[in-house]
Amino acid sequence: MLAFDILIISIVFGIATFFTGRYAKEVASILSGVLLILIAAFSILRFSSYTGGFVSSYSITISSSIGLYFSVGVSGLTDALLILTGIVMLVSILITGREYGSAFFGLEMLVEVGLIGLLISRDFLFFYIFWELVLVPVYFMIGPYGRDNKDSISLKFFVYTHIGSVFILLSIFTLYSYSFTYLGSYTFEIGPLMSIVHLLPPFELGFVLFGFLFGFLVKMPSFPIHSWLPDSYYSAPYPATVILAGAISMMGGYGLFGILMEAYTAIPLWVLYFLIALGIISIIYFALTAMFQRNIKKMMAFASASAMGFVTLSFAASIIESTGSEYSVKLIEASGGMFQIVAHGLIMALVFSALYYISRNARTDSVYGLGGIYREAPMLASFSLIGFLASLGLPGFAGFIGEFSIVVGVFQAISWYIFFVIFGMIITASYHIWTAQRSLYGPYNENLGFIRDVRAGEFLILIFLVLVIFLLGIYPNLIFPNLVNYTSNVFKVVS
Amino acid sequence: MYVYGWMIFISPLIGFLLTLIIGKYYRKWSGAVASFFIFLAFVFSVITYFTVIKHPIYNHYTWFYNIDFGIYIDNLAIVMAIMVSFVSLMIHLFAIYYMKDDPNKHVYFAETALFTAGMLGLVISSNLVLLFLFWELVGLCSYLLIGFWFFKPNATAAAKKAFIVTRVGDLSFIIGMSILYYSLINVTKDPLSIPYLISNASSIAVAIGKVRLGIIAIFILGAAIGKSAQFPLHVWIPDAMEGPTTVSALIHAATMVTAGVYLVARLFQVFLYAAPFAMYAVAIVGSFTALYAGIVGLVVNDVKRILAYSTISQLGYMLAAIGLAPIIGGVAVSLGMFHLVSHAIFKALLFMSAGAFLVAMMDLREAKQMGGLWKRMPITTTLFFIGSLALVAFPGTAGYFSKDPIIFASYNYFTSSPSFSGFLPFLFLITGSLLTTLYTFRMFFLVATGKPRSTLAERAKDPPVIALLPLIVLSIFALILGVWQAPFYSFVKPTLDIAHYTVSVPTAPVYITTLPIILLAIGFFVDLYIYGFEKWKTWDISRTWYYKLVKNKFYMDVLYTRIISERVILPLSAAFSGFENAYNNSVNRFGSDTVSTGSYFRRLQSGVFENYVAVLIIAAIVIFIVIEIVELV
Amino acid sequence: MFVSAISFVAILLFAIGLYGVITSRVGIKMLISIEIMINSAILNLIGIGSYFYAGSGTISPYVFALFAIAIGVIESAVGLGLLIAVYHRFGKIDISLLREIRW
Repeated sequence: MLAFDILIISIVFGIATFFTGRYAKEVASILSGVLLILIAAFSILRFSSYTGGFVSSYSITISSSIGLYFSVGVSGLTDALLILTGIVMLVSILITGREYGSAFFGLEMLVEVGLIGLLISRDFLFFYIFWELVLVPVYFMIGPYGRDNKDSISLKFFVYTHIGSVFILLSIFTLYSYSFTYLGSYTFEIGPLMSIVHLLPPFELGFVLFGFLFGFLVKMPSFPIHSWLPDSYYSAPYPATVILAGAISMMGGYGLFGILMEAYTAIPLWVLYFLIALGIISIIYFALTAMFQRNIKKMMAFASASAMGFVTLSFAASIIESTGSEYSVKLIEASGGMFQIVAHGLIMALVFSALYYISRNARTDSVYGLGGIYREAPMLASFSLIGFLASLGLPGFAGFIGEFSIVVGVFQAISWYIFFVIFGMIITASYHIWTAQRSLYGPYNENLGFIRDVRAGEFLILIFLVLVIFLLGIYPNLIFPNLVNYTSNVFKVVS
Repeated sequence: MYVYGWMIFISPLIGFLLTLIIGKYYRKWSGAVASFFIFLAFVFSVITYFTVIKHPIYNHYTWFYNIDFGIYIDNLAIVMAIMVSFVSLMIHLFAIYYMKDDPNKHVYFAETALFTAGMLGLVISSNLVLLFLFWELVGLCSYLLIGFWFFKPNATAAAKKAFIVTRVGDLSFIIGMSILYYSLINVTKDPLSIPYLISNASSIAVAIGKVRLGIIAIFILGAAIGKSAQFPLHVWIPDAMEGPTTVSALIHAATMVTAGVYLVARLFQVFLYAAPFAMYAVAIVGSFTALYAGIVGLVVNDVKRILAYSTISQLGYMLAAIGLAPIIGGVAVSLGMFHLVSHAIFKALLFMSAGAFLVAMMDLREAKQMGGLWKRMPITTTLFFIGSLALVAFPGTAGYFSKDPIIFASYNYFTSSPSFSGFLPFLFLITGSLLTTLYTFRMFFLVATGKPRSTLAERAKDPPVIALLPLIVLSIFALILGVWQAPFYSFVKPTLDIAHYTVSVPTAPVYITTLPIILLAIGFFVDLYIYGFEKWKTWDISRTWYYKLVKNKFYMDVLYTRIISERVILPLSAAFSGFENAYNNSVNRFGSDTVSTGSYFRRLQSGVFENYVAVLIIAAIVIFIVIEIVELV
Repeated sequence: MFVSAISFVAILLFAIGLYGVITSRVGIKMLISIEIMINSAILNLIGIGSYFYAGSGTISPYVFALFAIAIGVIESAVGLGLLIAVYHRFGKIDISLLREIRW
């Protein structure tokens, strides 16, 4: 009941923000702050003692003859992702300048509505509606407010991700059409539909799996269906980039871990190995491409995609791995992947927020255009450095826990191919530190003139993100047990 | 009861925060605040010592999933903790003088306090993952402190190089942990906890096979190679001398680089029960580095770089000592650790007195621009001389009691397994000791004797004695530490079964024990001739091939910078980036081609009404005919 | 006479109406021709339907025809409205003036 209420409240807030005129920023900040507090309270209330499965389930019957219910439910994974969504949306609203106008803030709130809706819905049709609902505001954010070819790039983003989503829709309908045969009644609910996947005839099974995988991998993004990423991240205004990096990539990860994993017995082994290969290739490919970029925003876009390669890798590896007697490598692998989604979202929010302030104050975001800004804006430079260090997986920050859990468990699945992953991590460390050294330290680039350091409000936003990332890094047990319990429930493995 | 153990690393952590906050407003006090909390850490270490001599301390909680965090303090850890906190305290006190004019010194002291907290945390941590966290934390502080003078491009480039090279070692650590985790997950509840590993090493070796344990050990050795700057990951230390000298003393001589050796000593049982190649690798890497760094250190003219290569060389001695364990038993750890402690003391002394020289020389590090400083800075030079004596293992100094037993042990190693591979450690180490003498006295004569070769050297003056007090304390220890040799050996012993354990100081035949002293004398007189009597000014061997080979550090740096990163990685990255661009363009072209095919189809909408009607009628006729035909069929 | 006579008349009417739609440019003329086409279809319906009508309980062609007449009326009304708008815009009701919606 409670999760459903949060959704309704967010819809009301979202629509209200469009009409607020001059005070849009304050109103939007307060409203999304309220949403974050509600989500946090909900998490603390319902998830302090969580043993797997779905919590706060609620269902409205719309038409039982065709099996259309609006059912919601929150699991351990979904709860962590809800908190991530709340924080990322709040940060993106807070860093948006007042000059964007109330329409932009309304669009941001709509994205939040879509994300909350898709995370809590346990019915495929509404899941799909909210999935598509997220795309529309982002299109309208990139189009009018972006830079450099914004119209065609926003269209490219929309069409590209939409094609992926259409495949998801086709898979949903395929499953729906078989639901009568295997379940006795038509239904759109996620749980029952996913449980019949392994009963499908071979061609339909292949098509369903392909549809889901294609749609989710486009969103993550994974090589080779990632072309929307560099242009969209680069052209979008910075608050939209924060949303893209923090929340949109989360959708793909949620699709894999939250939806596809419930049908893990149906996925053939060669598909899993193919996914592992895609994950490793993503990590290395994006890391090497990022190294050659001269614009920090584009470089961090590729860094974001490289970090999501770990998620694909961990998803496939955790299904392949065998279960142990008491503890299991499977569980830490999958939980690491889910944790990586959360950590990656928060870290990218920090990196792009700091980059936004740099590009606004120094009026450039190219590596060679900057140089030695630590002299003029030490606090901003320090926050950027923290962002880069967290992004490369330095222990003490949340990124390490995710990457470490994934790497420590993946040896069982891929043995000596782990060296490719390690090579990717070396390249990642190299270009992050190279960028930090070039743009933040060294002699000051006098062409920049005077650079203003962060003000009190901006400082608070950045330090809030740093504290959250640090807290998750040194005490991951805040959300780790929920992820482990969720995974063990899905795998039916004793932990 | 456990509180004192936890406070060992929590008090410098509090010191970090307080120094940062207080130092922003009262910059003058930042050094004193930081030093106070380091002193507290030292006090807590000493208090914990009295508990640890009865039994080790182990106190842990769940961190995430089945990985714990906690403290495990036994004899090895407490000795290391006391050494780290004491030397760090001395260096902080000297740094109050050395950094007194720096506008950012509160940031400096905060970072060194954080570093000390990280180092102490590393020493007392009870789980490999927690150790790795502190391992990276000290690496981060090293990065920040090397690049402390951030406006110097050399410094920031050196910091970047240090981070990346040690990161390679860290990733080797992760691979080792990964293999270990997956091997042990069905065997125990917390596979990566240190007390479990060291007390069950023999049963682990039986359970997962000695070869696999050996492979794990090799990866852990890889981590130690990165952090302790052994060959081939040593290239970051000479460049790291761009940082302030007290940073070099603290991080790159006494504490952080010893973390690699400490890791091997900590997991000694894992190495011992693994396949023999693991231990032998440790011995060979250590002894080869000792030789290699000694050779390169002979032609370097930057005072701090000579000391840096000397550090690398001595770390090689420590690792080699541990690697000799299959023959000499558990005392190998004691040998390595005693040399670690004594080296920390006299190397910190050497670096800090070099720092005093550099304050006078306004940070001009060229030894060939110094000279004649013993007349102008007598106290500092005396301290520097004491340090040098300890470094070359002059009989009676700490170095003699710590370094020469390692050489004797390597001789025993050779006699027990007479083969070429058994001879190598002894050969490398004994040659290394000759080289140590050569470069040490070369440095001393260039810096201290002769006529000053620059105006700065002429005008040099001693720092105030109060600033040199920490150095005097360290020099006293450098001279008398040998007294504690036997008690140290019996205190720092790994827990092993009786068959592997010996505690005696290694002895060797007389012609071996006097060999280092003979080499010392040879080296001294050679250097006296060349540098004491300034014959080097008339030599010019810079065109010879062997000089160029050594001067270029055997082209290792060229290999890493020019060949690997410029000729391999960068073109690879350019190729991938070019492919990405081409791929992106092809996707864009696909989209625009699709749009342009639409331009053909839209000509159907001609706007002429008659055309529409005609199409309508024709379509109706066609459908009608088709339906009729289908019906017929 | 035989049933197909009415169909024959209806088809003839349909062809007349079709010819009128295709070959004229005057709006009213096209509208009237379309009306002729509709009425021919209704005629056909009634003619054949009354022959095959099987009493109450089945679909009655007369009801069907009433529906069709009503639809024809509505369509004429809409068409006339469109033609009035065209007249306001152009002053004539020449259909070949309406060429703006094209590619």
